[in-house]
Amino acid sequence: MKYINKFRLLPIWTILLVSLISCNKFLDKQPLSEITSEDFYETAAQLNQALTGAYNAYGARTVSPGLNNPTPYYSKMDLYTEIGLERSLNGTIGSGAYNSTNATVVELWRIFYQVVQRTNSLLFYMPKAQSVTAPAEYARIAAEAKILRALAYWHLITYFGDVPFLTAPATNEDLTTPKRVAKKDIINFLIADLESASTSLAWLPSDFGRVSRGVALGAAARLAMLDKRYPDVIRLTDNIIANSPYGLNPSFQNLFRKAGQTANVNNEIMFIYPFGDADGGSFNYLNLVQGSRNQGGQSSHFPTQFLVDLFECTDGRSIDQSPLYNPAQPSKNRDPRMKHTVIISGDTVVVQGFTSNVYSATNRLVHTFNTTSSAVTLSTINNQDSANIFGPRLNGCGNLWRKYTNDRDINGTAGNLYKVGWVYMRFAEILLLNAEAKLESGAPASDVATQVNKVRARAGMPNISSAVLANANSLKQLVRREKTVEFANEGIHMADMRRWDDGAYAAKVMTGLVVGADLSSSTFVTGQGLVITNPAPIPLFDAIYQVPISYPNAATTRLTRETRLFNINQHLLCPIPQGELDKVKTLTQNPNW
Amino acid sequence: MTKLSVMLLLLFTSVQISLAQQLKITGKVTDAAGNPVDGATVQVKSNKTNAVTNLQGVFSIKANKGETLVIGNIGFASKEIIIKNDFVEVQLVQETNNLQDVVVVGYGTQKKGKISASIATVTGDQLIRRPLANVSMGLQGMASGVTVRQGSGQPGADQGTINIRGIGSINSSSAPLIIVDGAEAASLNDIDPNVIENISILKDASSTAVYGARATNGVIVVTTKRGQKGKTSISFNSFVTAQRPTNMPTTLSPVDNMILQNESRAATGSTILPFSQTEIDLYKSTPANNFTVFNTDWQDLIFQNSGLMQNHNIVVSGGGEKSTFMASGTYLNQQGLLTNNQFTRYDLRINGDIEVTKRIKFSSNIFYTKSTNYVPSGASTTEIIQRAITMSRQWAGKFEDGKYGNAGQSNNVNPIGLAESSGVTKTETPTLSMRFALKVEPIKNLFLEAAYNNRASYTQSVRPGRTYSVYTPNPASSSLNYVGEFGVIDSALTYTNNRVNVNQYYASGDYSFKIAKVHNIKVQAGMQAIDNYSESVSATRFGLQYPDRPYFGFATSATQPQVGGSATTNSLLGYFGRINYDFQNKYIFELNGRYDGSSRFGATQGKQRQLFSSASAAWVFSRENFMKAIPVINFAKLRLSYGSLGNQEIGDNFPFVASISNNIDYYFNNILTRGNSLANLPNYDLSWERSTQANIGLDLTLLKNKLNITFDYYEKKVTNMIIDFPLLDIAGFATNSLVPTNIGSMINKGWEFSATYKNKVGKLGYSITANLSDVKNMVNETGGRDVVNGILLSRAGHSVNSYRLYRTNGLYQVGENYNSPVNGTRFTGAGDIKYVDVNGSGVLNDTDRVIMGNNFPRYEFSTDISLNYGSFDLNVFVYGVAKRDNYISGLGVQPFNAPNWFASGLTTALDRWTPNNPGAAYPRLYDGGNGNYIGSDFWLRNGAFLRIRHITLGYNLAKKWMDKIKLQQCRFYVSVVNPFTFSNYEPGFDPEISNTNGAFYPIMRTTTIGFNVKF
Repeated sequence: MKYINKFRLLPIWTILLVSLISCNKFLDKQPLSEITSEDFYETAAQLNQALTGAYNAYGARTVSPGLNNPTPYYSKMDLYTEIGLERSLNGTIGSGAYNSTNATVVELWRIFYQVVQRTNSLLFYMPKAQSVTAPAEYARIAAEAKILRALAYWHLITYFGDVPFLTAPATNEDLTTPKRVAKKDIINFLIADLESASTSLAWLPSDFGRVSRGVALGAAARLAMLDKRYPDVIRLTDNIIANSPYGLNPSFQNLFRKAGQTANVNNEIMFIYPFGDADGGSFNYLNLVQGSRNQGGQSSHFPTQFLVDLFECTDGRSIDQSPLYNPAQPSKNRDPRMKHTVIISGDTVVVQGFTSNVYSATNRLVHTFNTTSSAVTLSTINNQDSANIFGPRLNGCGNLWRKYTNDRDINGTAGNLYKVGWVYMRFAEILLLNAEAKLESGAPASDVATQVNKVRARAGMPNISSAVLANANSLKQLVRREKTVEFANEGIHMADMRRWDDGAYAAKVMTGLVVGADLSSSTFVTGQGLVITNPAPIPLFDAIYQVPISYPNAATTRLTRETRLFNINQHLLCPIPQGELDKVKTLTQNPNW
Repeated sequence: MTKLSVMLLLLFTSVQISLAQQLKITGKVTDAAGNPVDGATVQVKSNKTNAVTNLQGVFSIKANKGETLVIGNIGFASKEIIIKNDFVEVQLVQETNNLQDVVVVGYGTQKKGKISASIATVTGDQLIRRPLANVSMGLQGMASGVTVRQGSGQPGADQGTINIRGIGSINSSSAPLIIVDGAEAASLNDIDPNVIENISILKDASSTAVYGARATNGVIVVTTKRGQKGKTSISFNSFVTAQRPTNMPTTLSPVDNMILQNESRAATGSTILPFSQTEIDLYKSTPANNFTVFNTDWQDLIFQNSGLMQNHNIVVSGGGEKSTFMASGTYLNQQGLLTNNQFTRYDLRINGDIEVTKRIKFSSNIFYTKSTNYVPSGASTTEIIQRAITMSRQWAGKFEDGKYGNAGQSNNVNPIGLAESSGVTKTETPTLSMRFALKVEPIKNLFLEAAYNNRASYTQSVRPGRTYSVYTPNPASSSLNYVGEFGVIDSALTYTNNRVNVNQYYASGDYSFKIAKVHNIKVQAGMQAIDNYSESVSATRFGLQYPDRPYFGFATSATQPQVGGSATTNSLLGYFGRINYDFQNKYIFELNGRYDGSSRFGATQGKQRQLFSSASAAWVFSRENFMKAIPVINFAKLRLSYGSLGNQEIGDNFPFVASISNNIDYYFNNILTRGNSLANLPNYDLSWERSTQANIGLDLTLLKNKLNITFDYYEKKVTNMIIDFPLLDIAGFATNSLVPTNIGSMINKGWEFSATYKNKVGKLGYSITANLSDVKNMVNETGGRDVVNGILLSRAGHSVNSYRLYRTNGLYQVGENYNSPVNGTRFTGAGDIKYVDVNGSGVLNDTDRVIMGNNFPRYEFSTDISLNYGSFDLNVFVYGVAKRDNYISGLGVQPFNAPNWFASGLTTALDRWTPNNPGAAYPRLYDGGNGNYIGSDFWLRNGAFLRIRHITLGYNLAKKWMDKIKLQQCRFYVSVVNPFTFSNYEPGFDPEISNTNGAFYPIMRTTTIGFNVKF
């Protein structure tokens, strides 16, 4: 009996233990270090956080050089056009020899749809917080989100054409049977959306770094231009020109310098990606990515000789026509924007604020230039721009970008204190959009010239000559060139060059050997600077497009890079990423990819 | 229960009455040691009357004097005896086939002869015959159907990846559940091989169903040694090992590197070449002087560590009448080859058992281990090795005065500097695991057990990172010019602490009884609950002024200190039960079930709980009369099992919520503004992966117990398998946007064969074991979408993770039509790889990729040969894989192409295509690769190999000597591991390392001397 008593007790203990643990709460676990969608989008502060997240998606992402490095993705887009090239020799978008698995293509698609998701989620869930948010703030948050969404679509349409169009968080149907929507319809929707959003915002942004009414209308104008809706472009840009407090900054170069951006004279910069001054971890990598090897830069983005030769001489004529052009000293007498945009042989660049050197991709040693005494000496320092196999000579085509490399930090060695913000949109673009739309819709030449001359005058260039005004094609090409040189390395050229003459322009300038700087050796001539001893022939300009199209004896006289492929039936659009097509059957690929 | 016993007793009595004419003979059956043998059959030879012994070994039977009784039992040689008295005593002699051995099964033990499931066992003695740093590699080739793959030779990271019966899942875990002494363990490699008594590998549904939701990939049950009453012993086991890599690639000589790199650039049409003829001529004419002309042996310079491994272990075990104990302490120190790379581990284990009363037993297992891992801070070990493998020899490595050379392109990431002077990261993981169990036997054969286990580990990592100075030679002044500081820029100290705490609760009861002496029944029921909690905190401070003393509180940097942390939790609760039944040890049945609940699935959708169950049967047909005619077969058993299992290791603890990512920030008005965003889509419907497994097996013992053969065939079908549907990027979650969905299914079909032959000829004893197995995987369903992972793809109708590659057809030769098929991604020319336009579209694109081959080993075989002769023993272990594909990419094959260092080519590049070498093994050199290195079968290699895994020669001190110095055992041995490998794999690379891109830590070839001494 003694055993039996014990035996009866033990199962009771066991049952007790089992039931202690088996209560349902044992399996009821919730995340410990996360918040979830259930408890978000419920206060004004959370809406603002979600909006900040959308700005982050639009700005803090990057295409180059690595995913974590804060280089605005816009910075690489011009390298896929005739005016720039990146370090890689092939497999790049610029080379044309790429496919639907290209990492940049995938990245571009992803990051802009991420902006779309973040703005859509905010716009969709924000009514949860409407009752606890001041009406004006609520409207501002919604309007800013809509502008970011529209800009994301502007990119997507520019690169991919018709794309799936989401205006709310993706539904199951969106994700299993997505369809591409005609870009016309997307643009239609977005222009109306932007115009209505613009009324909720002031012309000047509430904080430095935010979008404003002008950006809403400017984004609408960009979208309208993509679809060649010229009257809409004119209407939208006229509104900005007539009513906004924006003007041109008298100093072109100040747009790309930290102090100039902070002052933002005449509010030319309408929308900018800013970096945090006090935070060592917040800086723009572009300086490093573009910079000269002699300054610790990595020179992996380069301008082409095409762009260098596109800058007019100070008389307003192109280099093949101007008597002011001297191929032995190509920097002399040129459009002043040139020296703020590119660095070519013979240009002086400041090294760490104290001494200067004279840029040369061909000399084996660095020439140093004393800015006070103007003395030039041949130093014993190896010229890494010439020697390094990833330098501009061996890897690029001899030229470097100065725009976004200009404001080098005095003490920075790795360029990691470069705080110059990336300009997304500025007033000069509004003026040139207006001019091009007027020109395309047949407005009088003088109407067109009004806006263009403002931009030229600020740059220090003469007004459009009467000869050009009298020739419709010359005027058209001048407006295009003007936009190309004004905005070179600002990431908006691809949309233009693919649109011009329905791709005929792109097919003309994107095909063939990428040509670079003069190969000839050069010497210093006192009072003149670096002089090329035996300069290469001046390029021949295309009769219609009036751009440098042919470089005689390029193979022996100039640095060269890859031969680019460009098929007008294929390369006007990037391929839809293969990964997306693999996932669903309803998405179609662009032609010939 | 008492009532039932009474009824049964009455029943037996009535049966006995009907046979009451003859004498009642009683008797007792014992084994050689005098212990009673229960369940032995006793048969009167003349009339086949049967009886069975009870637990005391006692039987009674009706028979006449002078008749012959035949007594037999599993595991014993049967014996005939003539009845002389009415009390008979029989001593049975144990057979050597160990059918009486107790095998550890899930939540219990079972006699080997009565097992109806598929279970493989490995004893501790088998493991420690050779030097082992970890247990997982010790299992390689030891049990058929258990695949162990080694991917690295890095100290502390050289463990194998274990798969039981193939890959069990595409996206969830395929790793088996590890149980150590009744508690779920974090890793098999936490256990010191010296303390392992035995390991049971539970392979089929019958053996694993009691583990329910964690069992789909098999279960490895480890039992550690315990003390024995009255047997006190102390043993020492020590070994010292020297390690060298099995295989390393060699780089081109400086001159070859320059010539080939120029050739590579020239192929692009460029007239500007990286190296001038002057430089090449200089290198040709001048021997290397490490100042103007270099020939840096990078591998030699980073492999400056000794590579010595030593392991010392002491086990003390013993016990008195009421209590026993086993205590073990082990120290392992494994030096890497790489400078500043080593691994150490201390183990302390105390297993104690106390008999509180005759019916109450208390057991404790206390286990403490501390592992410490040292690696360079500047880069991962594999990255440092990768750089050293491929860095051009003409760059400066280290100058005479110890200064580092300016090597490695823009970032000057000199791998020697990284290894030696970028700081040393120390990661320390102390783990304390305690288990207390109380076992009560309130009435005979009823056992109740309750146990609690807590395991806590704290991984603490201190990563002081610092810079090193780099110099470039200045021949003009014969001095070195300072270039700058590299390594961990902005010298930083990172401190990370991870805390893991696991509680496990267990309660169970089992009861064994017999009906009519021949029906053996055992029932068991219990519950188990586990809760896991982990949290981590990390902090980094930048700008250390004194990197040698990283804790010194003086740091200056523009970069703000960073802190971060996270925590997560999950829990599991299951109830299990088992019924064992056998009839005369001849017909064996078993039922298992578990009702499991997991916190990882959504409660709102009712996905949280699930029942898993299995059934098995075995027929010991050697006990049937008709088998008596075949005396060559001593024992034969046919086994069948079927059941369903689950897999809850889906990788995410909270798939049913959509979380918000934070720190998605932006600067407005120059002020850091915090932002958030939705991180994923919630997945309320996610549920368990399930598998159904069927097994048929045969165990045979032949030739007077000298030959044991086991054969199994199985099918394991995984359903509800989670396919991570790659969410369309248009959903907007940028990266890793995957929606796990229970939609997939796949099947593994395989067979396993194992045979052991043991014999002794004169003084020579030998044993040969051969294992051979194969498993074939077929994906049945992936929801209509391919699961793509780089060049690997899982698609219905093919094996999981098959290669999807372009098909190639050699190299283009001069004059061939390079433009067909159209390939928009390169400038095709002679010497380029010729891709096949598989779909005949005329254009080469993604749709031309085809599925071919895969990486999982097929026809895995191993042979273990043990010989002993007098005092000597010799063990040779051979392991191999007869069919396997292995892909090689990146720096492994593409010369001169490294992201940011001056890469050389390997010497294999000399056999590149040139017009004079049309039959080359490699394509022409072309800067940027020209599309030759994309995923194609050109780079798919035969990964089959045969490896002499180890050869061990031991010498045992003769018994007469040992007796004099009171030793029980004294053995010295020498062992070589991986002495020979036979394979057709890429030269310089190890076939066992999967899909290398040139970044790997080589697998080691080792030489060991060691001893085992036992007092």
